[in-house]
Amino acid sequence: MFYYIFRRVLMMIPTLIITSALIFAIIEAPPGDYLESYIAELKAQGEAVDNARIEYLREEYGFNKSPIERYFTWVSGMLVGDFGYSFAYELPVTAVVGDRLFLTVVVSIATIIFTWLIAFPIGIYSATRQYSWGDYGFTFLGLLGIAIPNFLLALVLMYLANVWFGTSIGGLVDPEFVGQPMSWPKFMSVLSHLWVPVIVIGTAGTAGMVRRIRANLLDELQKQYVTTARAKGLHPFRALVKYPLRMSLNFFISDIGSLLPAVISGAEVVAIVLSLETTGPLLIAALQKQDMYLAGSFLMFLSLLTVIGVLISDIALAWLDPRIRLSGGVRK
Amino acid sequence: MDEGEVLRVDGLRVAFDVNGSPVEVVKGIGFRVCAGAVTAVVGESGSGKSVTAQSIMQILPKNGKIVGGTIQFRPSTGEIVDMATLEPNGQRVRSLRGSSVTMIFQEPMSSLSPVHTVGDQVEESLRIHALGKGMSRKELRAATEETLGLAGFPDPHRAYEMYPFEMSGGLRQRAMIAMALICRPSLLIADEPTTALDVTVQAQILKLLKELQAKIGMAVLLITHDLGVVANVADEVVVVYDGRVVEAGPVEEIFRNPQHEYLKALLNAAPHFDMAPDQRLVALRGGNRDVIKLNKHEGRRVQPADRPLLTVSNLSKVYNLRKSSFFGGEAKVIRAVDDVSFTIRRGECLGLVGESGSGKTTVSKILTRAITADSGSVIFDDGEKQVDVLNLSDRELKNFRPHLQMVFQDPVSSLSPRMTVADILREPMQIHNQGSRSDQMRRAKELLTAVELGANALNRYPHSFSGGQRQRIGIARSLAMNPDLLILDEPVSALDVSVQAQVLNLLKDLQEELGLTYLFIAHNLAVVNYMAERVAVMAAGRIVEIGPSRAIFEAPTHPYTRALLKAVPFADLDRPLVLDELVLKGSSDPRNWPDAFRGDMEELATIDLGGGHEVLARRNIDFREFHA
Repeated sequence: MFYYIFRRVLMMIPTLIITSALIFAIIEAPPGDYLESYIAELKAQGEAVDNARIEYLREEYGFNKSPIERYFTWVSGMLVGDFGYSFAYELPVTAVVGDRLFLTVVVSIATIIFTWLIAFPIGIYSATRQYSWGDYGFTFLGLLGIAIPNFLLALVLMYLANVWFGTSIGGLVDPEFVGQPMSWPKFMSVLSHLWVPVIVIGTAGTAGMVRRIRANLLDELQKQYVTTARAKGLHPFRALVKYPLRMSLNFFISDIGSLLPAVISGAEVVAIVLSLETTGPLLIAALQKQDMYLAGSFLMFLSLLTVIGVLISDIALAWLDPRIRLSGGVRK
Repeated sequence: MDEGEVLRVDGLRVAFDVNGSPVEVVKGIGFRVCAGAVTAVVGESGSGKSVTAQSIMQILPKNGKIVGGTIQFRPSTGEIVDMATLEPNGQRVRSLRGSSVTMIFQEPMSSLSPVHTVGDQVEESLRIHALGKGMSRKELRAATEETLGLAGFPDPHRAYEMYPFEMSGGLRQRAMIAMALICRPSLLIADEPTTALDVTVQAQILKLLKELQAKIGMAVLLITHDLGVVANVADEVVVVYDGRVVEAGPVEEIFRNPQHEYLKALLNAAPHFDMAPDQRLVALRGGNRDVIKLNKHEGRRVQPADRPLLTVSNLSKVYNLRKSSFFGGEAKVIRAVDDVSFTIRRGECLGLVGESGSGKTTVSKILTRAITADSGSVIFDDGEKQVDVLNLSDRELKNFRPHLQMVFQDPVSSLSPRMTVADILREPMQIHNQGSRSDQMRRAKELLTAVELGANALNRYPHSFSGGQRQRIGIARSLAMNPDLLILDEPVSALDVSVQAQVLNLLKDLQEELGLTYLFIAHNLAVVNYMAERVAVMAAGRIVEIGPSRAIFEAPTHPYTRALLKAVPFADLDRPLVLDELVLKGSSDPRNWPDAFRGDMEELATIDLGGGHEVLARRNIDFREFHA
């Protein structure tokens, strides 16, 4: 098992190297760079362009170097915790992202838990009572959840939250807490704002997950070992939980890997609509302004999450399924 | 219900809900099972025998329902209960099933959960029933290990912590048996308990069931299609056909004096060892085929008889298994095919016999180049030129493929459900750019006639055909390219006895009419005996004995061949199974063979016993003692 984890961690390294190269290449792909769009912006506003300052910046940030050199500067910086400098904010990337990262993680984890709490009981209900009215009803709701655009749902819920509960529009905290250190009232305020983005971001995912749990469980329910469990005289519910449900967990666990980045990146548009102080809007703004180190480092952060998520799900799978743990593959 | 009866089923009717309308599949079945005795329910697939078994346990699929009749059951403690009236998932029936009535199933692979240990699954039966209530964990485990030992596990303590996928099929079925017996039931229902097992393992399991029955004193309801098994273990027999009982009685009456036409036909449809060389199987239905009008290749010369069509020499294939444990891995080498050599003459049928894992399918895959061999050669000689099959380039291989075609075991998964029969039959011709569309259609019709299916089958999809018909489509496809050699990989093992007879007869006729050569892979020795002129026996990746069918079946020399033949159950009361130690110890494992037959390939040689009969043994062995 230790050897297995060691190998898996080792395999992450080339994956991340390739991803970083890809990210860098894509960010470099559009013509021009941050400075050029900066100059264009200044000119458009009719301000004078200080050539000496532009030259200084160009020198400072290495825009006069070749892309390959800049790539290595960026990558080697990340290895020692230096994620580069955000031109737009004129701050190190870590300082820009830091605060928002925390809120992003809070929203994401709450969303994942929300998804699981809703999806599991409904999925199990639908699978065990296939083609019942309940099954059809949940299927209908699920399809609605997939079909309604997230931003629309966000606007509606925000309105309702304001009308019914008096929750302030936008943001994750009431305006008076912005910039304040964390305190109990601030925490409560976060909670009262949290449910809107969680439901909005969670609905589509929940609906999809219900369908998948239902399909997987239906497959497993056909299996012979379920009949064996019934023939043993096991209580139907215990038989369901111990055998087919346990087996259908495999898909669910391998899903964790893709869940983390999907939730975090899928939340971006919603975050803008709800003006959440998370990382999503930041990334989109950074991409628009060609604030390349901010965007690049952020994307690297996303891919790191993906790789870690896959690692966690692989380890959990091996732990849960003895077939993966014990039987080695055949080499031809 | 009479004294001594454990189960009495009367007028049982079961209906399945198919698209909203009920379809009756069991139409009034009645029989009894007596204490300490075995009642066998015999029938083809679809006859309703398994549904009957499931009704007794009240574990019918969701859309199935008992619509009439009674199922009276007498548990060892308590009074008679009519199982048909109980709520399928109710408390009462759950307290009975798994403890007083238990069941084992056909597929030991899928009947156990792959992610729970055997011990956990066996012990569970005890935990949830009254017998195990109040036992400590230690006592539970002790009782479980005792039952595992009873079921024939050599090391119950270790078996307790093993997962099913770490065990062979035979051991898994033993685990199922342990699970069924741990509460010491009054009635055991065995639904095709040995059908999925190799013949020597089947013999072990049958013996075990008989011994345990005597030890525990339970009644057994055996569901099977195999009359050989019935003749060996049953006391009373019920023959079902289309949801009804057509004949029932003591086993003596059934075999010595069959009355019903169906039963007589069933007894005649299975191949057996005492058939005369030119005797044909009698199929239950159909079998009147038109004269085949398949065009043979023109100008194909018949080669001189002294050059074989296919020469296989020193074929080897090794798999490296990496068995990773908690602390890293250890390498394990499996010799799937170990120095295998044989020849097939034009126009003959060579039978290749062996248990699962003996390497026979690997050999066939190497011949078709689906797997690459580590060493060895395969020479195909069509009389004009010799082809080195294993060294063909991709392009040459494509041109060679029509000569060598394959028929697969599973008629369901070997035909694409998304293609019509016409598409399926035309596909090989399309791949090889043969003829126009109308030529191909004409050819497809010819092929269908040749396999006794009407031309109206062309536009239908495979799912609308029965298993036997699908296998005919598979055969027709393999004939599309006018092959010289057909590899038939267990072509009838998924078919019912009656259908099996039809397909075997068809294959025999085709061979004669088209001058085909067969490599016939099977585990059923009687089928091989019926089909093949020569037989090769494989064990542990090697051919241990090869020779003319008569020699192999009448004077088997290798201990494995002997064990294999001994383990075949006959549908004949006068030839019961005699199970000696070799059969029981695992006869396919070379470690259990006498010294004369053991060793590395360097120490062994194929020894000619005369008449083309060869056996793999140490060089200086006197074989007279083996024929004594």
